[in-house]
Amino acid sequence: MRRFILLIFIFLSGLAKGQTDFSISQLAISDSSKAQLGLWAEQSFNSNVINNTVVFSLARKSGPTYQSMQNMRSRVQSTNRGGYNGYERIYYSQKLKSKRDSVNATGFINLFTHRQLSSVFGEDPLRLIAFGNKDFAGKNADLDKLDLTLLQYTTIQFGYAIEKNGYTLGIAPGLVVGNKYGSIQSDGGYLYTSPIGDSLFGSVAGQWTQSDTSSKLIYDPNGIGASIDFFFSMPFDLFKKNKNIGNITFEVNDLGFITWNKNTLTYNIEGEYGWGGFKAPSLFDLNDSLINLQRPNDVQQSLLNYTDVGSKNRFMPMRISVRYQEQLSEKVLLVATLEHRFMSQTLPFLGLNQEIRMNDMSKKTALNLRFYESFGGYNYIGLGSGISIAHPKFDVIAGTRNLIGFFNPEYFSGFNVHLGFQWKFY
Amino acid sequence: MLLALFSCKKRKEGWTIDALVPMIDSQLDLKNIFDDDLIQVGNNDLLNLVYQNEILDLKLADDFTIPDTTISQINEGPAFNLAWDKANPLISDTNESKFEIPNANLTYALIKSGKIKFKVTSTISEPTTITYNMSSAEKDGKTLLISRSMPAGSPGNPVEITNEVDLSGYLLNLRGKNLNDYNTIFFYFTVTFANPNSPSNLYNYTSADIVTIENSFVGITPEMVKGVFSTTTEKPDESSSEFDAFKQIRSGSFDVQKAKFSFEFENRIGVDLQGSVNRLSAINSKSGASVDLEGDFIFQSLNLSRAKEDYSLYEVPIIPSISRYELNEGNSNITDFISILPNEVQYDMDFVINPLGNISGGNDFLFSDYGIKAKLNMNIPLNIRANNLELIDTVDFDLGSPDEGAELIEGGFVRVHAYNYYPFRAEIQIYTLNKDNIIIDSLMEIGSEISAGIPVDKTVLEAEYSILSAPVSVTKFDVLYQAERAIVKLRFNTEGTEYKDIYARYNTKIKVVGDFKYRLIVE
Repeated sequence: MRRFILLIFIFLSGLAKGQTDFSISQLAISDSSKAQLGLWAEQSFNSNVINNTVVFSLARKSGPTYQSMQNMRSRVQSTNRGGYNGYERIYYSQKLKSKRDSVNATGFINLFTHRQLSSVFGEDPLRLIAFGNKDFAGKNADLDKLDLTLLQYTTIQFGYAIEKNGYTLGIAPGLVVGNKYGSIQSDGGYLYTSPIGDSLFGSVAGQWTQSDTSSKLIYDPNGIGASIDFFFSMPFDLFKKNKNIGNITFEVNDLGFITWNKNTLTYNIEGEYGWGGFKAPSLFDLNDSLINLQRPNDVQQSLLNYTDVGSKNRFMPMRISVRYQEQLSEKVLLVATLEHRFMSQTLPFLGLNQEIRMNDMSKKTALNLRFYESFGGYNYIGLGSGISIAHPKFDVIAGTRNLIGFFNPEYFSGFNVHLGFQWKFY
Repeated sequence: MLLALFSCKKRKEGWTIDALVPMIDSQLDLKNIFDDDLIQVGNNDLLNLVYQNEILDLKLADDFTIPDTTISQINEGPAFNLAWDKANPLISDTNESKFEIPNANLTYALIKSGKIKFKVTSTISEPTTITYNMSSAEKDGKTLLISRSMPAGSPGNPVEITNEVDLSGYLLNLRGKNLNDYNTIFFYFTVTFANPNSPSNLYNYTSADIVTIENSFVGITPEMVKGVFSTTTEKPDESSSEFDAFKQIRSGSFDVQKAKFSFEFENRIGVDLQGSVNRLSAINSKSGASVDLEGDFIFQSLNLSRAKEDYSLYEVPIIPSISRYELNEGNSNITDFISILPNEVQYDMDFVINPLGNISGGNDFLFSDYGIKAKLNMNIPLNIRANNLELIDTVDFDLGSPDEGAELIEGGFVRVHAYNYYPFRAEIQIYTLNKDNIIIDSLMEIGSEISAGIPVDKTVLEAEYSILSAPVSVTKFDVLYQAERAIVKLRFNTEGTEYKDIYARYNTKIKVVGDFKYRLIVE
């Protein structure tokens, strides 16, 4: 069994593309503290093609340079992914009284906002959008693989976890407030550019959905929904030579739905449009009135089939994960997480963390260095590091899972920062 | 770190892509270079450059005007006193006067404008009535009749009345009282007593009773005169005319193998004319070149028949007489005349009126708005040879304001794809001008040239493709926004020394494509 799971890890790490995250299993108090209050913030971006300079420039609205865009050319694949995840979280856990001493029970409240931008592009749509139609002179740019979703929701969870003999079960139903939703999905289409560029012809089909467009503030409630998180944790000894016994956790997050309100707009796009420049019987006849008469103001009309206004139900991007954690030695902790988030245009992700204690074990406060290796997500590989401090009264953790993209942002992708703080009450 | 990454905000969104943008689908043909009505399709689809130019419009009305004329007549009382029966007119007289009209004996004149002014002075001691009747002047079927009351006067204090009559529209019969004279009018003048029976029916008529009538014709302009016009020679005051067939051609030469000129005289005067063109010169004032026309036409007596009257015609009762004289490369140096691309024609010509005297029986006529016109009709089959033939046209140019999308273009080229059937190559350059008409930029790359179509058996069967480029940049756009007009300059050259046929089916298709580095902004 242990070898089988190890093989699964190794196998999936080759395919995996995804993003690690906070685990609600952390909210179950396993030490001697009676209560914990914590904050957690994490911002991540990754892509197999869009380099960090481009992302940072777009985020800053300063515009990436032409060369930065061109640096992406060699990385374009038949399927290209890019995604952003952002979390802000505050939680409170309280040990609950149990009828039996052998059972530990924890109740917790977890309030968080998840912001997600996920996209998948075929090679042609990406080349078209990133580099322009000049590459497609004399041929079609197929637009059939294009999916982009923007989502933000805020959840408040009321959870309960019990632990007995190292086995822990937790469940956290939640009320979800949908803040923003936008989605562009292509059902097919193409853009033809003639060999010299004297005519363009496009055919597109797809949907474009937007939550209430009159809403301006980022936390405005534009939808309501429900979700449930649960986890099961059990002892598991993967590295048998080690005297410590590990722990494996199966977890499901964000299993739920959001009903976006009646002001949600859905544009159904299906149409064709051709443009061959302003036509004039003679070059010298071209004047303002002729141009105004032919100005392509009807593109949107030609492509828009109909518009629908009304509430929309959408599943939340459910996450499943398997996490293995074992104290390999007195000073080295290993955490390996295999996870996948559905409806996020990402593929499974494997994250490996090593936490190495830097100071003497006799010290009350542990100073740890953390190292991260990740495979997949929206990219191939990520290397990172961080620190953590474990004090009897508080825990601090800060780090990044992507250092490669920081050091060479013109050619690599990946951005992650996370920061956590937790008070312990006895 | 997040703050460090996102705190520095600049408003330069989106990213730069390489875009091919169709801009213009159009064509150029010779009708764009010459005015539309200058190009006509001739035999075998060959184009002809056709131009009609009126070089002379000679009106002779000024030679046949009726001069301002004043006629005075004094009617004195009898030498001895008379007891005059007041029932009878005191004065009743007929007056006949002749206008001094040079070079014509007129029988009729239809007056366009002018007036008669009367001044009557009287010493008659009782109120009278003055009547003036010009039966030789008629309008709408009525003769000119004026009657005015005159109060009593005295030798020491004569009374005077004045009056004016507008003669517009009156037809004057100038044949005199007995209808056998010319340039002559007549009228009746009577003085009667206003109160024949009061204070008595007799008036003591003495030598002190004097009535003076002064009759002035002022500013008489005829619309039409008729009669006998003397044999005279007329020479136009002006001796040059604009010739704008080649107005868009600025320089270079333009050789034609054949040309045909038709000199057309249109005579709308009812007289026989004998014309003579003593000199006809083509002038190119820009280059200073000039060519005098040579051939039989020069100094030839050109007999131009008289026009005819026809009052069944709708507006102007004139049937003009038209005479044509053909010039071609066989009977003149007309191809040389054309080759300097004249913008002016100078001439020396004269016309003899009624060279054979009065042969119309007094039916010569002249309408003041119509005279003799000379037209130069040119027809050049476009079988040409062009050498640095430079054509220039000015067009309005307005890029709009910087917020209309062009500001997103960060560089690249405007590509002009040309498919040319014409057997000449054309260099093209576009200059932009600011509001003060000062050239501020040139758009095309130096040496941009549309390749010539290649004739096979004198016909181009397949268009020749060429691509021209105009670089664009942010700096150039800044300049372009200031432009209000553009000058399009085309320079044509034919290959070799052969003359090339230009057919109506030829054209140059132009596809303008933006090959831009374009900032794409997704909102």
